[in-house]
Order: sequence, then structure tokens, then C-alpha cells
Amino acid sequence: MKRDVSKFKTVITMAKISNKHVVVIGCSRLGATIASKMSSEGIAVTVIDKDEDAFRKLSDEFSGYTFVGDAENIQTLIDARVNQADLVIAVTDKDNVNLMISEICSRIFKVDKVLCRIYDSSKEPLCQQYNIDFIDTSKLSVIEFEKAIGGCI
Amino acid sequence: MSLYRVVVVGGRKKADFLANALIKRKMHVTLINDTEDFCVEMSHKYPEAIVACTDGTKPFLYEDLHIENSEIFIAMMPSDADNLIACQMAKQIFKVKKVFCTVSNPKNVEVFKQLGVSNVISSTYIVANMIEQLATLRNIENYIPIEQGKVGLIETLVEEDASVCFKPISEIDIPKQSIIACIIRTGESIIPKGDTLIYPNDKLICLFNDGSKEDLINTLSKKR
Repeated sequence: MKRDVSKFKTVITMAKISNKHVVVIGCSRLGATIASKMSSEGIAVTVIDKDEDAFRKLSDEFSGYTFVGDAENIQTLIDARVNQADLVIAVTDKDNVNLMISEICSRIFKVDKVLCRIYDSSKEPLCQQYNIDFIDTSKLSVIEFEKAIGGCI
Repeated sequence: MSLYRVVVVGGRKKADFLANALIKRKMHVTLINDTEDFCVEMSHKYPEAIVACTDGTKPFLYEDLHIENSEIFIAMMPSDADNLIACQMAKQIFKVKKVFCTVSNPKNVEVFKQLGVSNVISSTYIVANMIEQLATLRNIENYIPIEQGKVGLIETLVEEDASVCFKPISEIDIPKQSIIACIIRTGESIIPKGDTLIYPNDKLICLFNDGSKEDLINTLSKKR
């Protein structure tokens, strides 16, 4: 799992260096934090969420674009020009929606790099089947808890 | 006939109707649904079926139910994303041969095809298309779109004063890319040849490519 975190860091650096366009789908706590952080580092970011209120979670310094729409609909993704992004981060609160968006972005839009957040570790085989890069938050939490307790889980 | 195993995930009325039809055909049915009252109702109604009350996109559930032994998997959950993931898991991981799903967004028919789930049914698309055809075209009793409407089948009634009456099919100027496939006359079906005559009140079943639809209907409904 450590590998996944470092992979994520490399991706951020990559985007920063070459001034690429990043799309974050789902303005969840995680989505908003990632988007705010990237934006403050000078990366062009678009955040998509179906609920306009969700954008209040973005930091005051956020200078990217916000786009209201249902990302389950491919038309929303096209309208938000996700097909032209260099990096897509799918972090809505639903695993299946994240997976579907990731598949659309990587296999139909041919986006270079797509990252997907999943809660349910049992969906890993599907990610591997389709070569989707994922971050399994429950697994990450377990690792952190384990560290905090001293490896007795 | 060997015992067919069918898994149906989600759907209420549709799942009920389907289960009923499949059980009548002596198929082995497994129903998965996340609403408890529905599951209770189904297990009473179909004691021979397996009913599981849970989220239909969990791999461990598929393992427990031995989905790999089923021939057909049908996903009809309200969320299109859930249906896609369920179908992909059934197909790729559990190797079920025939996988079907419904979608609420008609655009997803094409999207799912590109993502490897080819049997996708959009009821919105089919119903909207049918209403459009029935409302805008005269004398059309039935319309069935095939391959997203690229090909269509219509059922049309020949009126008493139509110009095609009492003419053999070979003399009718039927547009290219369309055929009169069958004639229903007083309850009997006739597969026509060039010399078959058309009579008033015949019901014609025609097959056509989308581009020739208007021409075909105009030809058949033209007055004398």
C-alpha cells in the first residue's frame, strides 16, 4: 500500500512539472483537499460534483474551475472536458461510480493517468483486471492504525 | 434440457416478472435485492428460488452464491454504475457467459459496449423511440427497433383506399433497403413472394434500414 501513496506523490509532481491539466471528480473531503492542494501548487485543476454546495469544502486559495454535474453521465465528463485531461482522480463517495468513471476515462477517453479511490478492498480484483490504479482507503487506514498500535492487529 | 441457472440482481416488478417467467421454464433462479420486504415477498412467492437480501455488487456474495456456475447474469439495479460493475465482475472474474443489464441513461448503452458489456437494454430509449414512432407515423401498429434503431420492424395496416391494394408485391415500388417480410391476413401468416397480392385490411410486417423508413411508410400508405 505504501507503494500506492508514493505513486500518488509522483503523479502530483509529474503534473506540476509539466503544467498539466488535472480533473478531480467528487468534491468529497478527500477530493476537495487534493484539489485545493494541487491548485495552491499552481496546477490547473477542475473539480466536478453534482452538488454545488460541496464546493464550499475547497480552500479559499483554490483558483481552479468548478463544474456542477453528474459524473455518472458521460456527457457531463465531455462537457467538463475530462477527455482532454492528463490526470483524472475519481473520488466520489461511491466505489462503483469511481470505477465506472475510471474505466470511461482510461479506456474510452484514453486519459494518461487515472486514479480511483475505493473503500471496498474486495473490488481490487476488478481494478487489476482492467489495470486501474486505485487507492484503497480502508487498507490504508488499517496500515496506519497498525503502525499507531505497534503492529498487533 | 439441462438445468439453466439464472441470476437476477436488483429490480422490483421487472425482477418479479422475470423470475416468474424463468421459473415457469424450469430454470434455476437466484434473486439478489437490497430491499428486505421485497426479498421476503419473493421468497414466499417463489419457494424454489434462492433469494439473497444484500447489496448486489459484492464479490464475496457472488462467491457464496457460486455465480460461476450460472449461465445467465442479469443486472437491473437503479444505478447504471452498479450495473456496470456487477456485470464486469460476473463476466471477467466469475466467467459467466451471458451477461445482461439495464441502464437508465440511454447514452450508457454505447459506453457499456465499449467497456465490454455488450447486452445492454435501455428501457428509456426503447420506450421513447416507440412512442416517437407511433405518434409521428400513420397506420403504424407496432414498431420494434433493432441495433439501436439502425434496423426496424414495423407492423402496418393496409387501408381500403391504399394504392397498394390488389397489386402483386413485384409491382409495388418498395424502397431499397426494405422488404415486406410477412403478411397477416385473417389471422393467417403468409411469407410473400413477388406474385403475392396485397388486400385491404392486410397487416404487413416490414423490415427496413433506418434511412428508408419514411419512404416505405409513404409507399404503403399512399392513397389511390
